[in-house]
Amino acid sequence: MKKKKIWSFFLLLCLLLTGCREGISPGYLIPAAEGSGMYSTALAPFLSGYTRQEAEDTLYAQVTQGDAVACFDVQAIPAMRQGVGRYWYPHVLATVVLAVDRTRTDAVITGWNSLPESGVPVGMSSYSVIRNMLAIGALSYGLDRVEPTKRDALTFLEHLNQDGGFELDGSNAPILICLDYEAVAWNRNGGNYEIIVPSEGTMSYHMGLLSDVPLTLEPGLDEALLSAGLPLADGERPSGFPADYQSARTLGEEDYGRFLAIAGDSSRDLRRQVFRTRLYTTADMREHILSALLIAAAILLWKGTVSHRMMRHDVRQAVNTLSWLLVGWLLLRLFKYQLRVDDTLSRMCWYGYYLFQLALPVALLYLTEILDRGEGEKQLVRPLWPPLVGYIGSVLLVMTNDLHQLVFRFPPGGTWASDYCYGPGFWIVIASSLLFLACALWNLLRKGYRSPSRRGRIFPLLFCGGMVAYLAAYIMRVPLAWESDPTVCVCALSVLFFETVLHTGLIPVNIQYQRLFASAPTSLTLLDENGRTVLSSSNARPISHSVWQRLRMDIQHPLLRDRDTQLHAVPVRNGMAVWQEDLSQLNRLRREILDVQTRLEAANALLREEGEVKKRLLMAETNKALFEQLDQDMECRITSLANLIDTLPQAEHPRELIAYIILCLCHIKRRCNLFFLARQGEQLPGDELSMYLDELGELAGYTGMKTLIRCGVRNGLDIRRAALCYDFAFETISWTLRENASPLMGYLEVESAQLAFRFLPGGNPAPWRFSRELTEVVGALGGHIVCKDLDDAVGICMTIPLGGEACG
Amino acid sequence: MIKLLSEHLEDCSTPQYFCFSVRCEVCGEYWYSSSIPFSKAEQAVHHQEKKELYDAIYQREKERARWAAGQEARERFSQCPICRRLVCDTCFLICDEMDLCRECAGRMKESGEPVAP
Repeated sequence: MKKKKIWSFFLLLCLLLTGCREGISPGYLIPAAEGSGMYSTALAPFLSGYTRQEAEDTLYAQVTQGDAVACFDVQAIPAMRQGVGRYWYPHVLATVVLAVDRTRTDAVITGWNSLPESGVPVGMSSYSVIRNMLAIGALSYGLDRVEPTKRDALTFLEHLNQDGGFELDGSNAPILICLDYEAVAWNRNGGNYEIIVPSEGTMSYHMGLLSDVPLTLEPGLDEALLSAGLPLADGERPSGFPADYQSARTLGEEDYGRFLAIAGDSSRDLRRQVFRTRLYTTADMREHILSALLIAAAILLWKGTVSHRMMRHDVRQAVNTLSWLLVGWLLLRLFKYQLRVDDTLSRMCWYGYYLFQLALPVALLYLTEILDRGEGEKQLVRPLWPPLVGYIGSVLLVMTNDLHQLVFRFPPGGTWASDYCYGPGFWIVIASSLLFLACALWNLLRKGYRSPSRRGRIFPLLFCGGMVAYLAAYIMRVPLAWESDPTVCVCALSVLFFETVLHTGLIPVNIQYQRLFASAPTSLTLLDENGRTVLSSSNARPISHSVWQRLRMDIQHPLLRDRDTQLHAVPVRNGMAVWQEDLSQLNRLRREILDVQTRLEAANALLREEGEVKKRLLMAETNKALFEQLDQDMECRITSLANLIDTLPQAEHPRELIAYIILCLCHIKRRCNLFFLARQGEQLPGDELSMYLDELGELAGYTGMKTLIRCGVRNGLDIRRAALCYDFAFETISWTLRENASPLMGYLEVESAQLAFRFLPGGNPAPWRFSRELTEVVGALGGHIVCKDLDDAVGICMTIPLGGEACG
Repeated sequence: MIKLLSEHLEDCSTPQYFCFSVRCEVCGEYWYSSSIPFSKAEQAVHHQEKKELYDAIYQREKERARWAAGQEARERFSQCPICRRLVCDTCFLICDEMDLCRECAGRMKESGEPVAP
């Protein structure tokens, strides 16, 4: 974008610099109007400070440049009304007359109407635009003095032409429509022309000087003009002029507008209506310029549409190249039209046509070659450098023609613009160019034939057929082809060639994008580089400017348009593609999930609370059950202890009874310990059981009893078995006290996977009866309590299967 | 209004640039402020040892960007005098009696032209 601006600025600067000129300064006397040469020559000595020079530009341009321009009043007065030129000096009165060459015809000519009757060819002495205007103006007035019209004049000339008696550049015709002073000059030079002022009427025009600055003319100009054979503006004429000019009329101030309406575009109308030429091409300068601009605009428009349709970048480049070649050719031709002098610049412009013309077949060949490969592939089936080299060589050959004359040959002393012939170089250049075109056409036909679509086969054939028809018509001089503009035809053919390639389906086009977008189910939008929507699917909402800006800044990340719509974008050439993702379903699901999660959390909290309540309840119940069990377990022991305490005051041996009571208390305490340890599921280490047993033995010692109990188990014991051993030891000590069977020795040991607790009392333990609870539990564990006769003593032994760590 | 806007400005900034959004409370569409690049974004990436320094600069520039975003949003959002909601120009109608948001105008059967059609 920045480069474009710089180039635009540069071009504008060039335009301004080249468009400006230094201040107006008097300099040249320009004979701008055809036929003013004689007048300018006679005038030059009387106009000091001005040098005679041929016109290099239009007379209006010359006037604005400060020159004094010799022209007719029909040019000067309208120009002054438009602000071009401020001073008008009429000096000569020129009248349109008929000059009859009496050496070639004796026909009686009196005026315009006698021309068709005479049957003698009539010509115009010049075919310049201004002279055509003067003649048409005079003829119109002559044919109808009251209401002169161009149509009458043209019809008159058309009939004259159809009878074979009128030609534009007919300076060799026996009768010439010319200006009177020209005919007088011919007679002075040995001619034998009868000068006839048409009796029906004719026009006299003033010739003079138009200038932007006041002119100072030396005295004696009138005499000089008369001696040069020019009639003066006041009607005074030198010898050799007709005597009667009564039928001639000069234009008044108010007549110029009407005159231009009648005589304007005379050259064009003469060509088209009288001679029936230029029917299919431009006929005058205005049409040349307008048509060139229109065609250039049409080509650029076509380029725009094709570029819009193209999907491939390289094909788009080919279109651009082709279009600019055509436009460049047209513009160069237009530029050359503006050059009034056939000089070197004009010739170089002419050569320059080939710069564009010869490039067209190469561009078309390139186009047909790249169709086979995918975009971005470097290798072509056939290399393109030979046509490119051929093109460069051809252009160099043409552009350097002035040096070698191999392409165009100009005869010495002739006018190069019209008198030239073709050299061998021209035919080589044209042959190579035609070869490239033929290759391009062959490629088109071949690839079109391979195309799966029917159009692919038909369109190339149609194009080739059309081209052959045009060439045949041109060769056969069919007016439509022969009189057409070759440049325009080549442009049209090039465009048609490309369109043919397009319609054969050889180039992927994107003309269906609108339909695609319209029917796309996804919300897709294409934005240009300024954030404007180019294409959009029907259900896509417009993208706001702020959103576009944000997307452009960070195109990688999606963007929330609203809570239910997310925008994703990818950069594309000259813009971005944006599609809208509908998040409403996802959001709904997320809301539902959040809902469920909340409900679950609430349910979890409720369940947790319920669990805690249940746990607390269970704990309370467990405690209750535990204490009930403990109470139940200890109830009988506590009852018997209470009985013992009750009998204490009446006891004979209170000391022993107290000691026994203490022993019972100790038993109850340790049993409670063991009860709780059993609930905890723990084991009782052998050392601790040993300590319990020692404690029992020590307390029993207060009753006077001698005990020695040893625990040979060191590992942990199952609480139930440990409690059983402890109970067995207590009850054994109790029986020993009751039966006075002291001393008592005991030993607890592990014996082949059994726990054996042996006591050897001082008396016979056979009548001892252990408590029902103890015997039941020992039985339940698979153990037993037996008395053993040891010859001189009786021992008592409890064996129970081993459990806990001691087991292994 | 500024206070209301600053409350509604949502931060969409990244380590590279600052951007804030405001959500229209009627149509629900987000408006995004012009993104302002963080002046030290590149240096901050390459000089991790000066992270604290760049963080401080980032915060300072972010505050400025927030203020600028508020000013920018002020041109595009209005507060409905009835419902007190912040609405975008598309949803804010110029009515005969009083300018209202689209929903309030519909409820009150007031007709008007949107500020930005």
